[in-house]
Amino acid sequence: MLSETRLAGAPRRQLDGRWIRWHWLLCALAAFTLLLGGCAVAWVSAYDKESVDRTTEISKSVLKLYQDLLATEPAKRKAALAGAVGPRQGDIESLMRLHLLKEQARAKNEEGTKIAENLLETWQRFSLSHRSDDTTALSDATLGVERGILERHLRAAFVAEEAKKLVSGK
Amino acid sequence: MAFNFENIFKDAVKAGVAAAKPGGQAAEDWIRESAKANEGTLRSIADGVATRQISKETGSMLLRENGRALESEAAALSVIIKAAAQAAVNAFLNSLTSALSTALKLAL
Repeated sequence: MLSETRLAGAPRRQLDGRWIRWHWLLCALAAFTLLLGGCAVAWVSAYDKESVDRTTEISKSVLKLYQDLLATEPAKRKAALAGAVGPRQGDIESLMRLHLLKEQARAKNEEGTKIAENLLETWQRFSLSHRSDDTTALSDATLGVERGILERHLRAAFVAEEAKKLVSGK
Repeated sequence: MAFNFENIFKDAVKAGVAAAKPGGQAAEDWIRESAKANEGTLRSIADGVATRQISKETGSMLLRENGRALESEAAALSVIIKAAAQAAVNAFLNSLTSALSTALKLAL
């Protein structure tokens, strides 16, 4: 009697076991799929057109100021800075400070903040150098190198922001 | 009904690699551009100092600022790499989720 039950029950139990394993596998897969569905990594901030616009505005002002200085006779550059050009340097520094504040306020934006900080510090360093007694501080060569360095900071800011478009595949 | 996990993962990896490619190219281009710009700046400083258009003090200051520009360029490179990695990981996860959902729907 006992052995008959064993013989008759074995295939049924095997089937039940398989069904249960299949059921659990499906449940585990469903849970895994649900879990994955909610997963997306975010390591950089979203693309911000306003940041690009601010960088464009700063670039225009910086390049125009250097263009005007280079167009001025070397002997008259110091006087130009003490006169009409001086306040423009201050205005550009304000634009850079505002840009830095806005970059700091964005989440996951350490690099954008670093670039804005570097740009401001370089600008302050150059402005200070222009007021020094060094006779070569406003030479064509110095101004040319300074403009090149500022362009590199600005280009880095543009590239960093445009790179964020890679995230969405735009 | 059997899931073909191997194909599902292969497709997901393919999607991830495809999403990472533009970022890889952008990083390569940026490294080249940055190296070229750095070389140009250093050359201009050296020429300026040699022709006495730039004093040693100003030259030293410009060299320090060149280092700061390199730091900004490295920060931009970091964004490119992070964005490319983010695109790749998310494409991989999306592909995997979508394939598993389809397989589950067929199984149920």
